[in-house]
Amino acid sequence: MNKFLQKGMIFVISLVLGIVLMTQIRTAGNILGSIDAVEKTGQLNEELTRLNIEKNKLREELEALKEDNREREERQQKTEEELNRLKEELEKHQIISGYYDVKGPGVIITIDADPNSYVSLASSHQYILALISYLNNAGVEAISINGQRYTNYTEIVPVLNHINVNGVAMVLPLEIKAIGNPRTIEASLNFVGGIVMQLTQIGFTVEYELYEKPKEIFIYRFDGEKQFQYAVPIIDEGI
Amino acid sequence: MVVIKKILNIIIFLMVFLTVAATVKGAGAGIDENTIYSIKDIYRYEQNIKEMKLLVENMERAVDSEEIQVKDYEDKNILDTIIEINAQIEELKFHNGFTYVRGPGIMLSVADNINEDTDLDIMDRIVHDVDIVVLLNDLKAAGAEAIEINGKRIINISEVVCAGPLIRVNGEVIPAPFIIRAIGDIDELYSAVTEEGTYAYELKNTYGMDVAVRRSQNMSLPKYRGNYKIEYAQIIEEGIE
Repeated sequence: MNKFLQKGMIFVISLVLGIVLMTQIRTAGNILGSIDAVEKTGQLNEELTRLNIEKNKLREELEALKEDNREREERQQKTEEELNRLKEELEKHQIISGYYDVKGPGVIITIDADPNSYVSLASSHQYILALISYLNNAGVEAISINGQRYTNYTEIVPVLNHINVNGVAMVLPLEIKAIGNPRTIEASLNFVGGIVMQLTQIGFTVEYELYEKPKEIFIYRFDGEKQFQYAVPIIDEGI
Repeated sequence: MVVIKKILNIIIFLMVFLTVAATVKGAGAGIDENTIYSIKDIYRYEQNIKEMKLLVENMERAVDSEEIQVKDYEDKNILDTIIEINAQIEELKFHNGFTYVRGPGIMLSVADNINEDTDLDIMDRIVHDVDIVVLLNDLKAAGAEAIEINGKRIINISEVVCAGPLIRVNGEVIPAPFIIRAIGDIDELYSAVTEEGTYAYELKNTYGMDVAVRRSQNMSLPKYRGNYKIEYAQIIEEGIE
């Protein structure tokens, strides 16, 4: 009985020790693999160094690209600013040219005469010209006379009893539209001895209506196109 | 039998002892003190490598995205648009009188009637703004392609208004004599200011003003120099209104 117990205990101890030993060996094997720990450390160290080098290379590359992009962005911004400036300039010239429909605040002036009055539009065309000059003095940005846009090449010619504007015959009443500051326009036209008074004195009736924001006047474009035969642009701006 | 048993016991005892010794020392897999430090190192290395790999991956992504941006910039051909808009502006500038021009034409000078022996009223002997306005209009009607007066280019937004004894043009005042130059068909322009019945003819022959005309085969005219800003007018885009 005692002997059996002794043997049994030795068997149990051996079993436990055996398990402990195997676990120990397996753990060490798991950590180290089949390679020696020092060797493994060396390998890892190498890999780390390699990654470090790669990282530094990438960092340099990234810095260079970022710098590149920053420069580009700056250039881009400048170009875009330039583009916006040019677009504004283009619109300004398009408006002045008269080849585009425009809208804005301004004044509509209606010139008429009493049917019994003997005032003649043809013999008073200089007053219409003066009126336009005074509108320009008020800084207007677009003018039309009975729908005809007043461009750089618009002439007002007396013919018989009427006037031609852009070659189109016009009779009373004349409706002159001008886009600009309504108050300035009014001040430029209607003062003692001003063009409104002059027109009234020679027998016309002059009425005007201010179109202040948000009210708008629509002025349509000139439908023709000016062809140049004599004038040549001098490109050199240094003159 | 007893001897064998004892030997067996000793062997068992030895094995147990060795096993215990090996276990305490750290198994037979070559684990000594150095190895344990190495294992710590390996663990640290592995962590570092993991982190580093993540870092490298992130950087690669960042590099990629920067490269895409670089490509983006190159794709936008703003420069072409700028060149195109510039060309449009140049054309309109010429049309609108914002460039220097040259060509054949006439030169017309107009000055007050300074003759004292006349029945004319003093107001009728002076060149007025409206006289200039009419003369400029007559030249336009004769097909003038560019006009200037005393160095001020006349365009559709130019004002010619009275400023006391002077005339204001393009925001600046000019004194008499007024020298008007116009580019166009020389003969047509010439007749528009010399033929009987024309406004210039009347100024000269009825009001005794000092009017002189000269032809010129080649003149150059200044550009419009006013500082003109558009503040009220807006282009109506096609198809919207």
